[in-house]
Amino acid sequence: MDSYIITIGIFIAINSIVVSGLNIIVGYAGQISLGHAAFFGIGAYTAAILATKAGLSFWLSLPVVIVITGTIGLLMGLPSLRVREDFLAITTIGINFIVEAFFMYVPFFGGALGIGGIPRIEFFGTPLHGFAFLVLCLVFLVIALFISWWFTKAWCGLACFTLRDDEVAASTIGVSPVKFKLLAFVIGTAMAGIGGALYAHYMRFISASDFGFPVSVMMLSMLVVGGMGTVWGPILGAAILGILPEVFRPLIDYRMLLYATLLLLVIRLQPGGILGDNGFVKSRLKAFSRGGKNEK
Amino acid sequence: MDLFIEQLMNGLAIGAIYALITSGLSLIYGILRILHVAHAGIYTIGAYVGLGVYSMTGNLLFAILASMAVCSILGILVERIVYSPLLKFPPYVPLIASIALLLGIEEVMRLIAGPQIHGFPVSLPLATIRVGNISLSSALVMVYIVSIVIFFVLWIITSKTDLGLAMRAVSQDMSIASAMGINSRQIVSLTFAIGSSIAAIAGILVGIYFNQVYPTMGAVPAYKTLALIVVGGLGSVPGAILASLLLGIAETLLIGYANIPFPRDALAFVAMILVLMIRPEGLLGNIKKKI
Amino acid sequence: MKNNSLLRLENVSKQFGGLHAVEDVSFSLNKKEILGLIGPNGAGKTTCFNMISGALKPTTGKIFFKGIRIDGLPIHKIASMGIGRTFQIVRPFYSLTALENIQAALGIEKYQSKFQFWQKWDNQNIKKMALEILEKVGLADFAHYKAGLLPLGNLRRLEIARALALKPELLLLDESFSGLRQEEINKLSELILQIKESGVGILLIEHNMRVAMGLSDRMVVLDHGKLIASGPPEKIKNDPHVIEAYLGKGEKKYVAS
Repeated sequence: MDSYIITIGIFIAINSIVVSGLNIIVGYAGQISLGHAAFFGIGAYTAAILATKAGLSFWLSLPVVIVITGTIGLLMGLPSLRVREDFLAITTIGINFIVEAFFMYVPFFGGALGIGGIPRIEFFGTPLHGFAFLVLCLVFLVIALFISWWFTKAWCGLACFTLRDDEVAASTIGVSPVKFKLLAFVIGTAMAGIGGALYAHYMRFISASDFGFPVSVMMLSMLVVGGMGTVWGPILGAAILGILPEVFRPLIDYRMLLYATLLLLVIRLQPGGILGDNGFVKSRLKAFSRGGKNEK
Repeated sequence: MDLFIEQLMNGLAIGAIYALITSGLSLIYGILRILHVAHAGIYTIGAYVGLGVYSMTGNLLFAILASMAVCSILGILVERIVYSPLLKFPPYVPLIASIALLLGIEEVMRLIAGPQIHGFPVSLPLATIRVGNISLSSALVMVYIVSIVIFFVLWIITSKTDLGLAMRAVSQDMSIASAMGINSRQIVSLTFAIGSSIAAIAGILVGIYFNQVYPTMGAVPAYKTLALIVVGGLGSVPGAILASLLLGIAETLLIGYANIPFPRDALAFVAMILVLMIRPEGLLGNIKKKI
Repeated sequence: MKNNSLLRLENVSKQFGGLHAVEDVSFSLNKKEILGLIGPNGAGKTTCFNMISGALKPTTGKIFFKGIRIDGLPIHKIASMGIGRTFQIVRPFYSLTALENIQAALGIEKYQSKFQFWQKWDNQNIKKMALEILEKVGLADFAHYKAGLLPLGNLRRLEIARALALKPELLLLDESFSGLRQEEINKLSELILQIKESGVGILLIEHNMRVAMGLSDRMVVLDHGKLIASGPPEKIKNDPHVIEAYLGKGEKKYVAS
């Protein structure tokens, strides 16, 4: 396969994993986060430091990455217990800026130069690159999708849905807001961490600006475009926003403008996302199945 | 000591410019509960229009007025076309639309005027003020004068006129205000017009003060001002102005004196998180807790 | 004195700043009993409710449920002990279907556990139980409608159904009749009596005096946060303090009817 297409595929797969994590926090539990790239970055930096300074392999560092991003995610979930909606949105923006500044200004994290020389992932002694790396990403994507899907079918997911709709009413049916919001944050940020580790080992060089606030905006845009709160929305969104800039590549000077215009059009015309409740996919399906009663 | 006072005066000027952007943002948040990130885009356009008109006519007052007019119209259009249909959705929907709008504005300005930094050379009819060893440049003096005038006008409008009363009524409860015979649509448009024209002035002031106008000049203020309206108390204009002045001074002094390897632009967010921990309603805010 | 009543409030007070919303109120409620909590607007009824359900913590005083002190516990703990409630302004889970609203409430024990919340909720058994509850309140036909699309009368039933799904021993109903038509009121009254017969204790806030008098076994009257009368409906009807409290508010017609 063309290595250009493989590269795009790898980015889409990694973004899908990370955005699935964001979906659990925002789409399922209803806690707005505009700082998701910070956790993507924490995962990437943890993997990079473990690989370059401690010589750990990807497989050995993966559990550490999950524990570290999940734990920091738990701490960052604490503001959601205290502030909500607009305040939470701005707080998470702030967290993103602070984490980025941390990577940029603390020498341990490589400062402005970032961290280079991150080794490739090895699988029984064979370094993975190109198509093999894409397969690895897809395996992790399948796991991420399974977790997302299971979440919609498990009690904890249902608890998160009730919290999203009405926190007080959810409490009166025995849902502890603290427990389930934090659960969503831990799982969602840990998924971002896994995506970050894959990213670090693929790029083999990372720096603070890879995980800045614009990246968080792009992730939330992917989620919103694809369809918030749906299992497949993150993949659709990551694919659309991943492929579009490539399609526009011939119009290189107008690329960002087209991207911004499309994002604005989608959010203006399909605010629930393409796979969302009033998105055009569902309304088309409804027109065909005419079983209106079930989906009223 | 003289250096300290000069630093302080510079910080105050930067704070005043922040305050000009933030006051409009806060006014708009108060009335629509929207985080209008694209406000910084309007400010960028304001700077460009001001620069364009000034270099054509050579008349600064005329440039300011033209820029205010263009930005007011843009502000009203943004509200009508983008925000108004999205108000019934969760707050992140208009927020993302706003971010997309900011990106789009930056790109349009880059395509029209080019990615380079334009200077804003103005010969001001103001003298450099000297007190002892301290000198205040004419640009600095202009920032002070203009912002004091604007804040005074804003204060008159919001607290002494019928328009201000109507704005407060609409921000309390739009449907009740409409039922009382207030034309809410018109008030919202006027609020956007006022906020956007202040942003236009802020854009021109920044252009003159730093002698720089460029496409992404709004990128950092866009998010920093969000932190400022939280620190001031969401929807409280005096709080937002106070927070802006404090931040301007703190940033300048931090760079001038403290030797901390910490980026200036993250300071606003650190302050914001501290405020949220200690006083979640903000410096001058007064948000009722709902049960 | 330490009897085996289901719910007992002992000298409960709640202050907001300088305002005494509830002052030194004591009453108790037994199993299989409907206690009407009435009083003019602003008398402190909803504040009482919020303290029992855990949304507010009393300033002073104690609340016991089955002999266990519950005041100050978080809402979800109190719910899991067997207290269900409805809201004066309905609060269903709008994005879920009516059926899912009930299914969510059936998970109350799973939510409290350490790991069981990872189990699947979407199974036939839970669905059947939820449908039975919807059937009981007469909403089975609307099972697959999004709650956000149901009219108010149905939402009031849905809230009661959701509270019933908790298998509560105590049910708190906050103005469940307001905004309903007469025929809807009759149907709902029947349902509430049935629930009572199944052994549940019910605390009822009600503005419609005729409904409250008809349903309640006993009544408690609050005015300006203070308990001014308690006893069976017939006694309350003729109590001079109660009449005065309502007359002062110009609600004579309700008392007379």
